[in-house]
Amino acid sequence: MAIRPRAIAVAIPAPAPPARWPSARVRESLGGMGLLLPTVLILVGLVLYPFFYAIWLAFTDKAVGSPGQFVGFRNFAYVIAWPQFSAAIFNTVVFTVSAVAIKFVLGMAVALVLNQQIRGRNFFRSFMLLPWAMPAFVVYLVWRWLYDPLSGLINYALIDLGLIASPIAFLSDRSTAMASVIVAHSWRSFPFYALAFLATMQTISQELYDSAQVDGASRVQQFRYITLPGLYHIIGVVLLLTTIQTANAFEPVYLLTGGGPSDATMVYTMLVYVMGMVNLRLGEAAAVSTLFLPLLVGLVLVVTVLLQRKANA
Amino acid sequence: MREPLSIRVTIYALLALFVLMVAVPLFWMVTTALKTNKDLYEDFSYLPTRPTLEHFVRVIQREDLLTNIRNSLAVASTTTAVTVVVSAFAAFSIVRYKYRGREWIGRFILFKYLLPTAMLFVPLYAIVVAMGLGNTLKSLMLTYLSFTVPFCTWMLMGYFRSIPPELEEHAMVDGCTKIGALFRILLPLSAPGLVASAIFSFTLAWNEFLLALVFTSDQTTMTVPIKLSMMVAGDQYIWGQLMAGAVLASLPIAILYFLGQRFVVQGLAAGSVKG
Amino acid sequence: MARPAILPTRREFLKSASVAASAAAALSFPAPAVAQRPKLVYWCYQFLKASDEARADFAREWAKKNNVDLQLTMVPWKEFMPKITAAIEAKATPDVVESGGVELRGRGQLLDVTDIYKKAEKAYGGWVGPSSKIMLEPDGRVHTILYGLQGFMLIARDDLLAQAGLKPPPATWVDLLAYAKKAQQPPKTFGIGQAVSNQTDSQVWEDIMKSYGARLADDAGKRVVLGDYKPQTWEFLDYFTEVWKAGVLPPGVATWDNTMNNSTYQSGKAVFVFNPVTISLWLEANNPELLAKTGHYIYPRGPKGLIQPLTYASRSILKYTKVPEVAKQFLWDSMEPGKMDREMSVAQWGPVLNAYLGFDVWKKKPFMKSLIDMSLKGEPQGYPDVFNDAWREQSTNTTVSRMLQRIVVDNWSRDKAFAETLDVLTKVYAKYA
Repeated sequence: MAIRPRAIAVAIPAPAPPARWPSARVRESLGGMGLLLPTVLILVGLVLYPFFYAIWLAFTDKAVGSPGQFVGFRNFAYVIAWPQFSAAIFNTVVFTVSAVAIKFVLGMAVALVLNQQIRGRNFFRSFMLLPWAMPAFVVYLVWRWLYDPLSGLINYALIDLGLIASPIAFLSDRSTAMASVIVAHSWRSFPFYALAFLATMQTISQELYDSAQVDGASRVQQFRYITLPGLYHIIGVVLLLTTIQTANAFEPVYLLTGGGPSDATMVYTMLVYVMGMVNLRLGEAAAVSTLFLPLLVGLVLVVTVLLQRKANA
Repeated sequence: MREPLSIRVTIYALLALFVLMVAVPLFWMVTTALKTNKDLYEDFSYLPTRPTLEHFVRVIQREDLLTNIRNSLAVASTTTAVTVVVSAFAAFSIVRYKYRGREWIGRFILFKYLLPTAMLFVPLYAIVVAMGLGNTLKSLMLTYLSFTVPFCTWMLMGYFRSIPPELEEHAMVDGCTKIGALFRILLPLSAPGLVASAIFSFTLAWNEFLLALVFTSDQTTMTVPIKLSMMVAGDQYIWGQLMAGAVLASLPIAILYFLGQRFVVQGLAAGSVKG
Repeated sequence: MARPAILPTRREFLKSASVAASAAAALSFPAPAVAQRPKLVYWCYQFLKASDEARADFAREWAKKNNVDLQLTMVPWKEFMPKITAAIEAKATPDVVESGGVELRGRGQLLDVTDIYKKAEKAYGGWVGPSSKIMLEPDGRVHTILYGLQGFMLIARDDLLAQAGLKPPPATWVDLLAYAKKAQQPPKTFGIGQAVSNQTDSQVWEDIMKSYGARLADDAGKRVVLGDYKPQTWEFLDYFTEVWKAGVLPPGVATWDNTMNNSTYQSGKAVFVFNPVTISLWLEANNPELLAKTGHYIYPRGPKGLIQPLTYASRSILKYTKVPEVAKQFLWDSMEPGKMDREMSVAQWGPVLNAYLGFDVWKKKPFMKSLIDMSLKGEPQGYPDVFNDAWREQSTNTTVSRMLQRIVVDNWSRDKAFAETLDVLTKVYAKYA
């Protein structure tokens, strides 16, 4: 039976106390928990257990094939003293903050444009989602090819346009490598921001804009006083989720630069990969992951606290 | 109310800029797939001098990419179906029931994403093998749930909250069970949210790389991203074939988004306002 | 029937719980039926299509002939370690693998195959070059059987060199630079297509450094001694700086992966590259005219002599195998000369057994001749350092190349870069001491 979603005032008679079960609330609770059970199983078995196992690994000298004994904080000391570790912290922060900022601004701009009455709106909305829909492997391979100094489109175009004289090795020069990775990653991920913002903007009533227009408010003022407040909640959630995801990004660096040149783009996930999968020292890899957790949790807390403040304001 | 011309021009100009920004790499991908090897490596050209389908033919015939596309479809569809069901149940449970602890799960469910796959995949593989699922598509269908369910649950929680509970209560007064109300009232009203969850889940499952790499070993189970990476065998890149494979790998998703984009927007909309 | 149904009945709770239970049941997998034939799980090394296919085809025929249930997986060399890591942890290992022989040996993961080693030595005329050195462990045991030698060789555009009035091969590294400068015509062609990155193709620089007399660790492979070789290292750095400043390296070498030197040479943009013969095999199939202009040589010499490192292909059996006799039989049959003859004509390996020296392929394909040359004159990778876990870890982390990048990418002083390198090496070697 299809029911239109309008508020309906309904008088509900008080329920009669049931005869058979001990407590109505217990029955309901069990029903609810039963529905939640599959999710809880997934979270415990596929998330929590591997997580605690990984932390335990950090305190052992486990390498592939050897059983691994408890070694206390030795891995942590080793990893912290490793030359690329401090670079990893710096690069991860720079990458995360820059990428999130760029994606945010770009996503917001795109959402604003797509929220307007334009012809072919549906088509453009789908089109703008493509970078995020495609497999990451494909995206970064294409960008690799784009940046190539000898056969890539970007260099050829820049030279043909007379903007540069000889090719720039975007991914191999310390001054451009990180920025190039950030650009490629932002291209891939901005649609998620645009999507989230656009969706929320759709829920803001057009009447608000119309009456503001009548009152003489400019577009910028409309954005500041109507659009933005309506987006506070989603902005908070999006920032939370994507900050974590950006900090945990692996494919952009792995596929574009491998952490190079030197340690210019070495981010923490790349370091975990090298220590765990290349050197086969699982204990060390787990130590790196564990050490970065506080940083990530800190980021999460900062964002959620800011959210709370805004919500309470 | 008519928009002033300057505003309209600005909007269309920005739109053109954004479309160009998205289109250039896609253009590069498609034209590379259509260029001959000579065009690719020896004499650079923006457009293919003699467009050829040889890379597509190679990738379908010699690499048998269609099998991998079929594998990816199977994994993504199953993961999606299970995800939507499990997430809907979980969201319903958290939002419409009262029992201790539900608030905590709702609040912390997104924390799963703090943990990178690079940290979790070794123990996950041990679990998969212990269940006898080594080198099967089922192993992926199971483990992918770990990153599709949390987000979809969160999204549906927001969506369900935006629908007044009075409607279900009204139905329950008329004799419907609580779960019956879920199926007869809440879910139909939440269709956009469910479709959005399905599309998100499908995308995440389709694109996943690291777990598929470790869990699958041969052509019968490999998904498309892994197959593409295998094509970069040894020390030879075959850009033409890689890009042809990339185009084929992106097509199903592109179609999905073109068809379902409206639902995704709607689905996120309600979920995002209050949450 | 106005039964108040706000509260769930027993039925409803069971329904919701059963949904969860059936989901779990649907995902579980029935135990496989006990196999009648022995099952062999074989991870086939994937690197070069024709060669991979030859080995895979042989395995399939062998399985049919010997009534074995074969499960074959192609594993690219780059993905091998993550896969075997997870497999060992999950106790779901293959029986036969074709990668990681020395790494797995060092971790005690392999089955003893000394008997096969001795049998092959006797039946096939003895092992070529450093093969024995690579396989034999200090206690005389063998856990991995080589089936091919490979190494980086100097691949050169003989036609461009001839145009510049030069006669290849350059005898020393200094000659190489001089040739490269003279024959190149940037940006169309660059002199030396050699990576200076974090990928293992960059390891050529470590070999060059060693030909200048430096070494990383002592003869036991335990203590780092590079600090005692500062003068030799400085001489090497002088050479490297000259190469870097001469503009013979194409743009982007600081992040080249292992495919870039191939594609650069194959598209005609480099005069010299260092690579295994995979480039030539590709050219044979895709660009025979370019192959005809290509020369294949062993490494140039340094002031202190020739360092020509060799890698190898080998087969090993995981010690957890449930079919050791079947696996050993497979290894033995894989060494049979008739089969190896067919395989090596499409592969990139040099011969490991003297019985293979008579194959036609060495004569028919000119680039194979240098493979034999290399196999006879080469030393195990890392020479004069010991090929052990510590060396391998610093090598896959491209320690020497990183030192070079510190100098030219980060503009560090030599002393600072050298100090960091010593620090890293000491830390790595300390882990395995």
